[in-house]
Amino acid sequence: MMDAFTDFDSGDEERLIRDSVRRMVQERRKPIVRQGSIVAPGTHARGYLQELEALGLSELMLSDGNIDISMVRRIAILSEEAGAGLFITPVIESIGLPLLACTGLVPPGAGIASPGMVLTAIAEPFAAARTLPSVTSTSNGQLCLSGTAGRIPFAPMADGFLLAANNQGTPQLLLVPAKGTDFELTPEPMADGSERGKLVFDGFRLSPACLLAQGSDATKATDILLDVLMLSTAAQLAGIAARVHDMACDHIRTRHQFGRVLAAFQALQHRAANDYVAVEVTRAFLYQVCDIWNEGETRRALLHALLVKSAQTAIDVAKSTIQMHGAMGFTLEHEVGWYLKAAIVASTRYGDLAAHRRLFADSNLAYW
Amino acid sequence: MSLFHRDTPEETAFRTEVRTWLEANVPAETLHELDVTNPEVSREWHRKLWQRGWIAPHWPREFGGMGATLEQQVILMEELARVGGPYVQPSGLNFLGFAIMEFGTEEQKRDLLPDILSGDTTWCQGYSEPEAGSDLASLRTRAVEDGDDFVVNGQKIWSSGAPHCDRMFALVRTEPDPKARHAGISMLLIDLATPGITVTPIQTLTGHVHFSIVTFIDVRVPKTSILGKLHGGWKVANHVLTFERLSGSSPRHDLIAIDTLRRLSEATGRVSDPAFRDRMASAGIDVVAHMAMHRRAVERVKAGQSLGFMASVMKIAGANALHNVTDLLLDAAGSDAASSFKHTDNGQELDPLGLFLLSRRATIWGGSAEIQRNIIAERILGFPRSWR
Repeated sequence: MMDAFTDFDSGDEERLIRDSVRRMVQERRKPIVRQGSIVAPGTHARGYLQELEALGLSELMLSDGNIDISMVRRIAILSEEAGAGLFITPVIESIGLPLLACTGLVPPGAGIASPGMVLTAIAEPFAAARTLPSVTSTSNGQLCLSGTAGRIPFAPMADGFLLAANNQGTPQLLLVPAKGTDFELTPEPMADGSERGKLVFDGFRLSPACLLAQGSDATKATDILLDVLMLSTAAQLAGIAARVHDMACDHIRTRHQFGRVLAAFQALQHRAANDYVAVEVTRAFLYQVCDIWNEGETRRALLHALLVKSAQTAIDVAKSTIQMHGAMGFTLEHEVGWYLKAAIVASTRYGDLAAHRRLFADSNLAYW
Repeated sequence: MSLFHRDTPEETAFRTEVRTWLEANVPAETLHELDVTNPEVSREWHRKLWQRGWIAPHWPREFGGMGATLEQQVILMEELARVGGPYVQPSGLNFLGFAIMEFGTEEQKRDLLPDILSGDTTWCQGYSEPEAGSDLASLRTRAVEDGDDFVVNGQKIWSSGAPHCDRMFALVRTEPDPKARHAGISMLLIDLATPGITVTPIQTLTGHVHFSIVTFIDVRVPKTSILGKLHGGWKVANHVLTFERLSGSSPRHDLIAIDTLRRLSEATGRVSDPAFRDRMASAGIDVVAHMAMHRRAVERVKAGQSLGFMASVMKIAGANALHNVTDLLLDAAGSDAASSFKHTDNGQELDPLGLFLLSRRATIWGGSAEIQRNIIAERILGFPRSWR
């Protein structure tokens, strides 16, 4: 991965994070093979998360205690390398609670009593018509949760959820354990080997302590989580794009046809050059969005734009890489197809691209 | 502030000063227009900017420039983009001036630089020839030493602004059979009023006279008019090309085009068509991404790193973004796109076809997109010289 517009302003710590994640991914990830065929590029998610913790990266991610430029740059770097390594695991999705603790919107230590992996569950955040699970208070002071939260990324892996809900129109953010007789989780396999899930609550009883925030605080909290998740997803897509572009370049530098390496043919050179431009624009955009993270009023619109741009680039460059590999690219033996699937999954993880374009067009930013 | 940078208080004050002055001084008929090429209007605008001290923010003070910080340069660029305005012949200010500072004699610096700044002398570039376009090293215009002069014979073409310029800095072959193709070329500074020179204007696709064929028949050019060493012109030309990389790839044209797209689609009602809005969003996102990349490039230069071959990447990215927007301009105009009927906004005429046609040059001038891709392939990606 070349770093024309990204690494020039990185410090030692950022380089350490990048190098550590890159090395870990290269050493640890292995495709899952069954009966001689790859069935997934590698979904040892818990193992990866433990590895990240062992490296101290999860802690480092939050070391500032503020969601500021340096933190989001670290998140972008880790996510970019995760994407580049097909590291399909809910890293950023699993640090929602400590992220919110940094903001003061959620009390420090919230959720500690709930061991295991707590994932963020904000159902279909940018859908035109959206229904969240509803919360009511019972006569004995408990909370009662009913309704559905669909398409929650990585849901089958969770031990608990940071769940966006509402109480008669008032936004709520709840900490919900992923078990109980009035709770049902339907897994849904995704094309990249990961799973998402539909959560159905049917009078699910919760302690009042599970209500982490409500009203404007809950809205702010879910907005912050979504912003970070959108940035992380865009960074994964940028990493996918950069990695598949490297694959294409490596391939055409070494494969000979007509007595020459493929990289000597102008048709392929220009295809690779176009892909390189797309990758560099996307990565520059990613880090520029990080660097103006504190400009709150433009952030969300820029994130919509960034997600569209990074998804387009990842998908287009993956398609191009398949083309440059010829028949080899059209097999499960080669990883590039998995990168394409991973790009498509990531591009729809938090809202589809049409929704992001619509929201960008509706923003004041669209014509600045 | 701009989208990707928060100004310091000093920068805010400078931006306000620039914006206020521009709004009061940009000729009304050129507001929100892209590169109005009327030579009289251009010269007058050049003079106004010079008198205000803003014609050469990037020139060092010792040569009469503003010696502006990089951020001040970017602010001027952004604010000029915001208002549009006339075309300012860039060749002297952005290319030749720096080459004279680097390679010129003391006399050349003293005699030529002040007039470039004031606009009293305008320069065009004489590189391309009928048989030497992208393959510049194959140029054939000859300069033969004869006493105190060179005698020049040949033709130059596609020089931007040539019909309205006073002088040309031209690459000429001074050694007919050099060992290397790029050797044996010199840079001459030629007065276009010299006997033996014929300037034949060429209309561009937009109907403007911006190019010309410049024919040299036994034109005597004093030897003192050489810039740099004899046979050392390729080095001077390359030096020239390293300047203006940031401003050359600025989102200026994208911004004017997308502002026109917004106003036109509101005037025609296309803005409320969801399918059209979706396409507008796609085009807008590419412009924002290009703006981000340009800002990133500014940050990189501020960090003390040159852009190098990344200028080619920026050029392609900018042209792609611009073309996406200008393609949509035609759709926004609908069935009026190619008619003489003009939509107006606040009394200003919107010219979608003109902008669409003008934007064709983005992938041609300053090294075609194909040449830029060759550069990326060979110089950045390290591929072998291509087999074509």
